[in-house]
Amino acid sequence: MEQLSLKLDAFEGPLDLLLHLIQKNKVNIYDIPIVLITDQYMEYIEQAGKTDLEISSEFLVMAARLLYIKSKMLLPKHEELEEEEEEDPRQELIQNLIEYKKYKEVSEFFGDRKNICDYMYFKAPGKVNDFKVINNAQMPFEKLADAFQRVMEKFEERNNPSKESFEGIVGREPVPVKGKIKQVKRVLNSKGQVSFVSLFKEVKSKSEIVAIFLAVLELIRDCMATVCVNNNEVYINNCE
Amino acid sequence: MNKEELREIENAIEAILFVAGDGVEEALLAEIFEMKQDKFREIMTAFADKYNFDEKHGLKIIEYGGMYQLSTRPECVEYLSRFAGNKKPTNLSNAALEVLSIIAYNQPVTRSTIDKIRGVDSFGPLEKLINRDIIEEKGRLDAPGRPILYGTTKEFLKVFGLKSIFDIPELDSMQLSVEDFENGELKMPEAEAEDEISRGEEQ
Repeated sequence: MEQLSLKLDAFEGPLDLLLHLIQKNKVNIYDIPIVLITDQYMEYIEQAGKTDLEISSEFLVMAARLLYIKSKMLLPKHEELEEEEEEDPRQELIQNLIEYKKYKEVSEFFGDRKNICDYMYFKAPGKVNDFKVINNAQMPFEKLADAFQRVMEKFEERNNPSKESFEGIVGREPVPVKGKIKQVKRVLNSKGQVSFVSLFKEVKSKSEIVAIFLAVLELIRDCMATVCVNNNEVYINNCE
Repeated sequence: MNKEELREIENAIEAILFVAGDGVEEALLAEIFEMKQDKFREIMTAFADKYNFDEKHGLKIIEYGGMYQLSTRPECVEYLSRFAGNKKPTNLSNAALEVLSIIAYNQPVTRSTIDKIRGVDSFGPLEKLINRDIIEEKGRLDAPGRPILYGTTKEFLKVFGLKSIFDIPELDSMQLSVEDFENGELKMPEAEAEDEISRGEEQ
């Protein structure tokens, strides 16, 4: 028998070791010469016991199993029993081995292919989610409109509209939308998210409300803001 | 659909895949182009073939698990690695590959089945495969202890360059299967068996 740096580490488990021995001795897996294989297996275990502190329990369980099969096969058979088809004590082990061998062989297929992706590079995704919300018009614009309506109503409750305020709307634009865009953007940049209503806390006129609302719509159109609803409250999110 | 219309769709597919970076579901693409999925698949497959094999761009369209994705062409790897550095190689031990094989053919499957087939504990390799996103939990078996069931992921298909799980080779490539043995076609020849035993005694 070859001399011997028998390392258990090289094997994935007791079945792997057994397959190795079967292959090395060029014997038929369906007709394992149990004495030969058991002896060689035990040699591995003994050798490993000298060097390694610990042999994993699976190897020892298999050793016991092999010795059991060996002893069973060495025992003389009863003549009457021989007539009946007595089960080959090796059968279960052989099935285990064949089952394991199938997967071990097919694992080479995966081993050959495991590095395919290493030769390919992928791009990080663009901000698809932001686009998607905007493109699919999934934003709750109706809620936004409702919220705007409520802001207007509240404002009217607070101040009975005076003649001057109407003049403002009809006349030139007293509150430039551009300025409000900048203002809303500043708020969004610092806070990330604000409730729609809070944008109108300090408004002094209807036209200011309209201007702020237009500013919000402009920002949404230019994909710089999104709308969402949380707990029945409309929020504006920063998108940059 | 005439040639120009087709060209337009193909260009748009390419553009979408570029922006997406990640894999894009075939169903979503079909929806975007307002087509039945079968019809879209036809166009997509022809386009991918043309793109990958006739025109041979620096990019490649890969398909896995009903998704399409742009990747760089493997042949470009040398120059790319000079530009972007080498990718960390996919490092899977033999144990992990064995566990993966068992899962791929038996999914969804419990750890105890895997352990039983391998004859050895599989906790370590299983963890590694989960961390690499190659396998995942697929629910639990309705049995005592409710053990976790494992199955392969789309990432698995991507890593191993497979379009679908059906692309893995047939398992019973071995000439003799367990059934043959059980059917008694391979009965142990008596004489040889005794031979073996007596040889054993001599030793």
